[in-house]
Amino acid sequence: MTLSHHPDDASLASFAAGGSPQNFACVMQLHLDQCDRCRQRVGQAETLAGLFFGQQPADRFSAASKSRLMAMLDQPADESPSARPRGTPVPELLRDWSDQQVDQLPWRRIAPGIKQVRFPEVSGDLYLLRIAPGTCLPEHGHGGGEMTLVLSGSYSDEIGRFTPGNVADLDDSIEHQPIADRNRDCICLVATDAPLRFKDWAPRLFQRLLNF
Amino acid sequence: MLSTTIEKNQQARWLQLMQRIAEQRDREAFEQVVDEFGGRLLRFLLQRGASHDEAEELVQLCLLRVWQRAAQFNAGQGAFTAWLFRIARNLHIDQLRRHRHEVRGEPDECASGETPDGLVTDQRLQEQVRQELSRLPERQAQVVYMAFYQGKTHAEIATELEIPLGSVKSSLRLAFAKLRSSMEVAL
Repeated sequence: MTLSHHPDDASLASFAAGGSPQNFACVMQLHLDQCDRCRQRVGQAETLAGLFFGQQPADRFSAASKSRLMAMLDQPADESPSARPRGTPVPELLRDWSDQQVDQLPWRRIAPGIKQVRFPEVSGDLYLLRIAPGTCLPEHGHGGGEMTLVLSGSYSDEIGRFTPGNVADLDDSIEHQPIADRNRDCICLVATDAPLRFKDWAPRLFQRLLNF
Repeated sequence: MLSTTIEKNQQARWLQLMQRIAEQRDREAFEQVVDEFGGRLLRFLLQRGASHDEAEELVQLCLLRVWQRAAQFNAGQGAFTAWLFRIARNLHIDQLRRHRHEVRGEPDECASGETPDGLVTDQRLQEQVRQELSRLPERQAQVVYMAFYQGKTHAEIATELEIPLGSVKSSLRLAFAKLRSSMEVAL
């Protein structure tokens, strides 16, 4: 699959370096699972991070710690999945995403034609948005970063048209007004690190009342 | 010239040590890896906010994994330091997660990515990247250090340097593009 909208290279570099907030890392991981281009970028960034790591000075690793380590070498390796370093955690629901489960999710209506499901187990704001066909989101800017991955359906805004697998990586300088395409619901995964800034009073009121 | 020769020798040395660990379970070779990287891993983890006790425990886990998985290290698919970095990074992310909430999920193939696509790293690459780093404007070099080595988020870097979030991203994007092209020249 050829994707046309990707996370910013700065975001991919931080993902590789282990410096992405968990909610943004989830969105990027799901994009990486289907994007060769971005996997290659992350691989390059990991190589760079490894080079920096290898060139930094050292602290003193104590003789006692070294002895404990040497004594552990004869232990059998724990190869269970839970013992493997996993890196980015992605909730199971998202990793095994299927349109068939959509109606079973605990959607909460936050505005006409717009519903939401949050992932409180992930640190930072991470949520699914379900936007009814043809619905126009209120025009908004961002107090910080916002990263959106389309899971099903599609939407368009001032930047372009976003279909499944594509990512919008926006910072606080961008204002936009997404509109879901008319053929079906659009379901997106969204990570933010600050509240959205709506231009009109009505969505701002809903935002306060419904905490979104 | 001298530094390139030293790095070339070092690179060859890590490869040789990893082969001895993988094929002969050679403890003396492993001790040399521990002596070289134990302190560097410790500093790396302390820089990322681990307490001293946590960092020591993670260094042990990381090096134990080097011992247990030495046979999986493939020099043709990346430098030893990149492999070690990925192990340490993932162990640290796992530990941070344990401190917060447990999220169920399968092992992360890409982020644990012990085999990045088609990357062959050698001493020429190190030298090329080192030269490019020394040419970066001060602000970009600062952001690169904070993002790549200290693992700080864009928001943390913006707060610390008192610059807009967009400037952090553009500095990092530009620097990463330059470093990537220097890597491509070296390959």
